[in-house]
Amino acid sequence: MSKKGLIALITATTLIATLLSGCSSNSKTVKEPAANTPVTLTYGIWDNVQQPVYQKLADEYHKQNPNVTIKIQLTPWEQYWTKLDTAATGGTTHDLFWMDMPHSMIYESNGILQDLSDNIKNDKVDMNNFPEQLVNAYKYDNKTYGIPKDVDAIALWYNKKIFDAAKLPYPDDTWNWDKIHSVAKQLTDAKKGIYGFGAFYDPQIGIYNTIFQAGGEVISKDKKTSLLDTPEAIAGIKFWTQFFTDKSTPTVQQMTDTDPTQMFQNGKLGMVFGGSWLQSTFLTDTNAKGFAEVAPLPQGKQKGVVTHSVANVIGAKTTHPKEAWDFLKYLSSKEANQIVAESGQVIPAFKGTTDAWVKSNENFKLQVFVDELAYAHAYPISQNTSGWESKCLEIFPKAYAGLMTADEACKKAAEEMNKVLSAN
Amino acid sequence: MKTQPVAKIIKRKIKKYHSQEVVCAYLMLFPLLFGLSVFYIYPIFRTIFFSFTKWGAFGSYKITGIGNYVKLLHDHDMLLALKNTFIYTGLSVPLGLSAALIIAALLNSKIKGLSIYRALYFLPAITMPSAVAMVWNWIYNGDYGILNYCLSFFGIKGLGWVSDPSVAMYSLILVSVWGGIGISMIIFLAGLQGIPATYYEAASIDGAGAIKKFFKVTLPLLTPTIFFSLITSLIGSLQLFDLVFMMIRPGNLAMVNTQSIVYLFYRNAFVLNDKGYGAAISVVLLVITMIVTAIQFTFQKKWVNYD
Repeated sequence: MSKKGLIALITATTLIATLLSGCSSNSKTVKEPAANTPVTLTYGIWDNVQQPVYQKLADEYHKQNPNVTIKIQLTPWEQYWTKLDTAATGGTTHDLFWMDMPHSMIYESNGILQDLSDNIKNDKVDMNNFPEQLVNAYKYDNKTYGIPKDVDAIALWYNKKIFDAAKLPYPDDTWNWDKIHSVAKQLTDAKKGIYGFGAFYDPQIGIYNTIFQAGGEVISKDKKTSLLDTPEAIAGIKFWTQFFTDKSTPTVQQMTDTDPTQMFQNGKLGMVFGGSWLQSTFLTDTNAKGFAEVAPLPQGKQKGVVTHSVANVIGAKTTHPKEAWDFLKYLSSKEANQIVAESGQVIPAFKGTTDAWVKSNENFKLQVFVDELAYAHAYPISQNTSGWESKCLEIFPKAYAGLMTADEACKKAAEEMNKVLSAN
Repeated sequence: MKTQPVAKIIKRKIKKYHSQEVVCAYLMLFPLLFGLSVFYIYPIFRTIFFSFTKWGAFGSYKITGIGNYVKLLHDHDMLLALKNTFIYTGLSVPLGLSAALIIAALLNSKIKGLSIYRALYFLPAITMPSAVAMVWNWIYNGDYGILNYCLSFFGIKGLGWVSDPSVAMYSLILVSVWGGIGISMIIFLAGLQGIPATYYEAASIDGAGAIKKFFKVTLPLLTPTIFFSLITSLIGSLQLFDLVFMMIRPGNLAMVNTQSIVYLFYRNAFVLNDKGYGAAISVVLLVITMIVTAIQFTFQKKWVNYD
């Protein structure tokens, strides 16, 4: 071959080799390794705030089991589910990873997660240590697929300074809807740019709580019908639209431009619904640390709050099921939950370890969240939760902005939600 | 008689040379062709196939015929997306190209600091899109943004530039024009430098001023470059996605007036998990793009001067 041909061949081969090396994936052999050969497990998480705590747990486990190394893989929340979807389709999920309730059903029903029921029975893991409604949330077809690792709740965060300036008493557990509406009006001083309440749309932080407080539900027990058009749900939405009528909240546009939690931290909002996870954010914010405090949510017809739990799950196609289960058992132990509690970042799921979480931050009355768990409803889910949540996200802000009435919005949302529910 | 053996030798030499050249050529082309077929050509046909299916979870699908296309015809969101994308394309392409052309013409002369100006105008094109989105969101912020702060000096109360449905699309168009000037400018500069100086000299002799020179010499001779930029800008604009995705979040009331065809595709395929419907949307976009480009090509004889 001529010199030109030789150069061409070498170039072609190098380019193809580079191309192919980029798309190689590590092949998984299915042979069980001999005992005590070093095993590496991958553990997929989405929260960089909790990463140090989980690294601590991984290191602790490694000390107790020197032949097992846990590699934590962090994928930011915005990409976590798209990435997991792709990995699940290709059969290459991590050995263990975090699962949340809205996405749980679709992964459970398609065999992406490992059934933990036998392991739980054989190793006598006591599931009574975890809140019942959350344990049930990770069951499908009477089989358990995940063990809750944390729980959360929503409460009323308020700005003590704004209340002091208006000479009003702080919120307490006697508050109801009328009270919060009237106090929000009293706290509002539009000229100073201060609003009594931040009424932003969010399913978990916002409307689900008030729908439960009005005595309503979001989805039927058999998960086939939307209950968003019931009078109770409409009342739950009207709780929010009232603030816009009273002008005691920033407009939808203002809260689109600037994140309402940020507004609260900058002292622009008197009150805002917020999750238990905010307490570590507020603790590190020198301003908010001084003026923020938390109270139980006001009650409607009854007390109500939504709770959600993240669970640890094992990928069905893991090549180390024994080691993965053993690490999962450790993560679900009282010891591990205690370590999580002390970090103060999330409320651990293991009953009895919440005290350490409450004490981790004496600045705020964190016991409020733990007390709320007694009457909390589990986050409403179905096979395609994100499908109808995304539709609701388009519809309800329009009611907040006054472009639709609450009744119209609820009817439309129920219509769209039923379309998504029947599509499965 | 004497030429015959020579001709034979020459013919043989040419044949041998020819086949070796061809083999080398294909070997060189092969990696690119391989990559192109695997990552572009094959997915195009697969997507067209998937537009006739309905997807379940994790890769399972069943063939449903033209169901997705029928659904598209009745989809109000698709109508909005088409309208928004056409408004975006119709405004950002002419504005972007005109601005780039004028700047390129200005930067084609020997002024002081020429390379600095060129670099500055090109900077937005090489800035990370997420950084661009973040900074412009800050500029456009209704309560705390720089734009409204500056306007307040003139006593004008600024709007929520990316949260107000009636202005959000125009705010995006501004960002896109700002970001796109760099690339178009470079291409126009290359085109401008291909115009021989003799034409300008001849025009000066005939008594033409700078503006007349621009319209009578520069523009006509630049039409091939303009044609190229027009085609690529049009195709790029029809595919509007990253600005919408990064600057307008779900729940923003302005989404009705800014959601583009590709954003709708993303939403249906990845948020609502209806990948077959998403595929149908992308096929519709493909057809629209092909029609627009075909129209461009048939009209080029009327205004593009190739010499």
